[in-house]
This record gives sequence, C-alpha cells and structure tokens, in this order.
Amino acid sequence: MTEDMKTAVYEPNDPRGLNEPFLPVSVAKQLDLPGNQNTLNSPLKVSGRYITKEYDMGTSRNEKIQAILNPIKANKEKFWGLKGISFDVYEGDVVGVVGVNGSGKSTLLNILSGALVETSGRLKIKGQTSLLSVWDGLRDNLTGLENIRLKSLMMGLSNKEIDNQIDDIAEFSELGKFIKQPVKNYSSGMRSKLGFSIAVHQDPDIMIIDEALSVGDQTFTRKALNKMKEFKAAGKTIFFVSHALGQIEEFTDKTMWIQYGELRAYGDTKTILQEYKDWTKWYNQLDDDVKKSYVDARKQAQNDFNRDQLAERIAADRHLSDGEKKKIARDNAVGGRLSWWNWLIAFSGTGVMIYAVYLYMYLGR
Amino acid sequence: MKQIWLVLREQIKYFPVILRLARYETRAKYMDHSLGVLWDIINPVMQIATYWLVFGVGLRQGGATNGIPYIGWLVIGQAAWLFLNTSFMDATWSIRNNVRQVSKMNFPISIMPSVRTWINVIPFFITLGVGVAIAVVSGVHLTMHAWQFIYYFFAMLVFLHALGIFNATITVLFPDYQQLIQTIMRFVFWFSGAVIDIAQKLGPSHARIGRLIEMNPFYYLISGVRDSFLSTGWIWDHPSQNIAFWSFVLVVLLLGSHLHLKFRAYFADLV
Repeated sequence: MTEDMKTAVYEPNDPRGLNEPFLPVSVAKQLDLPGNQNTLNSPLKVSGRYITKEYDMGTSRNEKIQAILNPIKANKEKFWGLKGISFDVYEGDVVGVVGVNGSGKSTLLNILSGALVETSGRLKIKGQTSLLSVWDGLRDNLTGLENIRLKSLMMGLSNKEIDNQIDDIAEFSELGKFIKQPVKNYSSGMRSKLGFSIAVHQDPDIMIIDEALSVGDQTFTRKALNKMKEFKAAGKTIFFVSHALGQIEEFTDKTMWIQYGELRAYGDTKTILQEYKDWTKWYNQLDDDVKKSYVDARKQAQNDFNRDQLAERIAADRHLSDGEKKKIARDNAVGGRLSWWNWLIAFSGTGVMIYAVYLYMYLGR
Repeated sequence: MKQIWLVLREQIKYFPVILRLARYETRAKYMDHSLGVLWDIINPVMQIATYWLVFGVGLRQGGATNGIPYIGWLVIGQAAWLFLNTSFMDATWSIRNNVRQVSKMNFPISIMPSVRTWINVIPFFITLGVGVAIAVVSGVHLTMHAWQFIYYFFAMLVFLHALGIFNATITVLFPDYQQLIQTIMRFVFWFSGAVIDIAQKLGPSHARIGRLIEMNPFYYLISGVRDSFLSTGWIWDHPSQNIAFWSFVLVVLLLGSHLHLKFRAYFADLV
C-alpha cells in the first residue's frame, strides 16, 4: 500500500475493493423507506420532516449566546448533529434506534422529548412525551422516596395521587431499605432502577428510553422489559435506544438506523438489524487507517454541511408541497423579535416612569 | 403584550403545582433540623432584633414619630423587606439551578421564580403578624387603611413575578448578573426605608434627593405596607409614585416575558 493511499479519503468505490455493503438511501427519498408505512391504519403520533440540529462549536458562552441571537452571522465552527431526518411513527409503534456512538441518536431523542430544540425542520408530536434517562432529574441530597415525591410533583401530580402510588414505585425499584437513603449513596445500578421506576409510573403517551435498561442487572432488565411490554400492549408509542441488539430485537417492531446525522435505514427490526450487523462486520474488518479515514470523511461532511445543501435536499423531496418545503427550510430559531408596538409600549412606559419620577422629585406630587 | 399573557397563563394553569412545590421545598429545606420550620421565624426575629438594638436603642433613631413607635414601624417594614429581598434573590438563581433537573421533562420552567416567592409567603405573614401585634400593643390603632394591604400584597406578587422572570432569564444567559444584583441589593436595602427613614435623615435641604430615593419600587411597597397598618396614608395620596411603580413593572414584565420565551428553549444548551 502506497503512502498516499493511506491518507486518502475513503470513497465508496475504493480501489482497494472495500465496497460498503449498502449506502445510505438518498436523503430525498427517506419517506419511501418501509418504516414509514402505516400498515395498521393507526393514527400518526410523531412526524418529523428534515429535522436538523446544528451544534455551535464555539467554546465560550458568549459565542453560544451570539449564535442564538444571530443565527445568520455564522460562526466559523459548526457541527451538524442531525442533517435532516424525516420519518413517521404511528400509535402503537415500538421503534428501536441503532447506530454507532456519536451518530446522533441521543440528539434525536432529546429533540423528541423537548429537551433540545431542532435547528430547522418540522416536528409534530401528538401527546405527552417522557424521556427516560437515568442520570437526570434526581437530587443527590434527597432520599429515594423524596426524589419520587419531588419528581411526581413536578410532573403535576397531586399529593393524594402520589400517596396512592408511592409504595408501588418504591417496591418496583427493588431498593428495599435504601429507598430512605440519600441518592448520593446510590450505585449507578440503583439510580437507574429508581429513575426507571419513577418514569414508568408516570404513564406518558410517548415514551423515550435512552440506554436506560443497560445499567441495571439482568433480573431488573427483565422486569423492566416486561413493564415495557405492558406499555406496548396498551398501545403506547415507544422509542428505544440501546446498544444491546438482543433487547432491540426482542422488543421492537421497527428500527431506525442513524449514522453520522442521517437516517440510513428505517424498516422492520429484523431486516434493519441484519443490515446493521453486516455493516458492523464489514467495518470491523477494515484496516485501522481505513477506518479512520472513513470516519474522518463522515465527520468532515457533518462539519461542512450547510443550509444550501439542506435546501437542495428538501427541494428534491417529492413528498412535500412547495409551501411545506419553504416552511421546513426556514430556521426555527429564537422566537420572533419584539413587535414595533411592543417596543412602543416599552419606550412609552419608560417615558411615563421617568416623567412621574421627575414630577415627584421636583414638585413633590 | 401577548408574551406577558403566555407566561402569566402558565402561572395560573400551574398554580397548584407552584403551591405544592413550595410546600415541599419548605419541608425539604429543614429536613435534618430538629427545630424545623421554626428557623423561618427565629432568623428574621433575630435580624430585626439586631436592627432594633442598633437603630432603635443604640443610635436613638426615635421613640415615636407622629405617635408611631419605632419598633412597630421597624418590624412591619422589615417583614416586607425580608419577603421582597429573599424572594427577589432566590428567584434570580431559580431557573439556572433547576434547568438541569427539569430539562428532560415536560415542566414549565417559568413557574420556578413563583415557587421561590410562595415559599416565603408564610414566613412573611408570620413576621408581619408579629409586627402588627407589636404596633398595636404599643398604641397604634388599626383602621380602614388596613384593607390597603390587599392591594400592596397583590402589587408585591406582580412585582416579584415581573422581576423574577426577568432576572432569572438574564442570569441563565449571563451568570455575572446575579453577582451584580446582589451588590445592588445591598445598596437598595438602605434606600428602601426598611430600617431608617432616609428622606427624614437627609432633611429639607436635600428634599429632592430624598424624594428621588422614595421612587424606588422597594420603598413604594414597604411604605405601602406601613401605610396600611400604621394608617399613615392612602394609595391615592401619591399618584406619581403609583404611576412610576406600575409603568416600571409593566416594562420589566414585557421585556422579561419576551426574553424568557425567546431563550427558554436554549436554557439547557447554556447551563
């Protein structure tokens, strides 16, 4: 192998014959993927169109604030965590999400749960979502029981409702006496059990599970999966991220494969998992330097992505009307500006105040 | 103006949640203390006692001015000041400190400042009750003026809501702002009329400066509460103060609500 080949950027038809098993579907045809078909005629629950998330690589908070205030005046370093993902999910769907680390899975789930805002694109969600993530939302200095109460209060339950279910939650968590200990003394497995128990008792319409089941021990995972099956039977919509492909296979009907910010495949779990496994096998047999150039090229594409490329992709999509295309391409940024008459109110209010101060100060009335 | 309503609507819709959270936080705060919520009373009483010793006894601020004993005047004003100051300062960091916890759930973060206000309402009523009792014992008669307290309490809530939303939002964006507010509040304390009647101290030669200081909203609220219980004035006795206060609150409420709605989606990115 010559030296320049080692540093060369990976191309799909590499002369070294490393043909990748399958290439991502053309972005404009995402909605033709089999996962979007509504076979059971169920109501639409979640619908995403060209969802993007642009991360600002500026380090200081001032740069971040500037980026929010003025999205047009672009900062030098950008990274597109999501490069325009479209999909439909219907009631009763249980969707697995797979992909290598850093592919954008968590970004997508955070956007679905409302924790992050998409940069552009359109996201329609019918119903309450709840993100089950083990590490968030527990206060270290409160005990397990107190955390259950606090979190339930924040979710809008009354004290009576909480009293009714607090024992169930405590029992489900299997923490025994530790439920009365401060959470800071918990192991990671215990935290995950507690977080999971609280979340499954909130009864959301759309549940998003981010790696939460991989922390507990086998017996608890089993119990948790059974609980999820109850949800599934009750017709809830569930998103399920896990690196344990066995869990995904057992538990989900559809799977999305997200890679480097793009939706690479979306269809029934069996097919997609097989494709994913094939791809992983292919990737693993590559030489280290080829792997590196492969990943670098993809990451570079996420850096170089821009609004023009996005607009091109949207324009090529035949599922969207012209009006929709325009809407989707627009930045979702930052609520509007203050309207002129609000400015007027602000200024005249300040004026009135100053005049009143003047009156009182000089004339004493 | 729509922004104001959008934020206000959340406060109304989630009012039961606000009260429940306030109650929970109060209990959680004194969980490992054996005296529990008693500290909410002991602390302000000790603080007021200190001021009374320094200004009432030590500096002989006054026995009675216009027939009003200093101690009653002090305690009522201090009750109002402690309520305003504590709620105001707590609200400033309320969003910043809680974003992490609530960012992954469906929770209206705009109610966080209100929760801080409602935590302090009960201690406020207790200290105020003590103040009024002291005043009555030392010879003040409650009159129809006392009804004005309803108006001033309402004004306090609106003021704390407006400033709470504004300050809490700015603090998320610029953490330094909280330090700045803390410094400013140390000055405001002396200008708020909580312990000394600043205009009287300055005397007639500096009447204008005295009156300028009286225009600050804290003074407006504190002297309003005093007017109510000590029967020293009616709301409509000072029209320009009313106008200045409410136009200030309106402007802050408008800007605060606007900034809050504009930035709240990004709070999780910024903390």
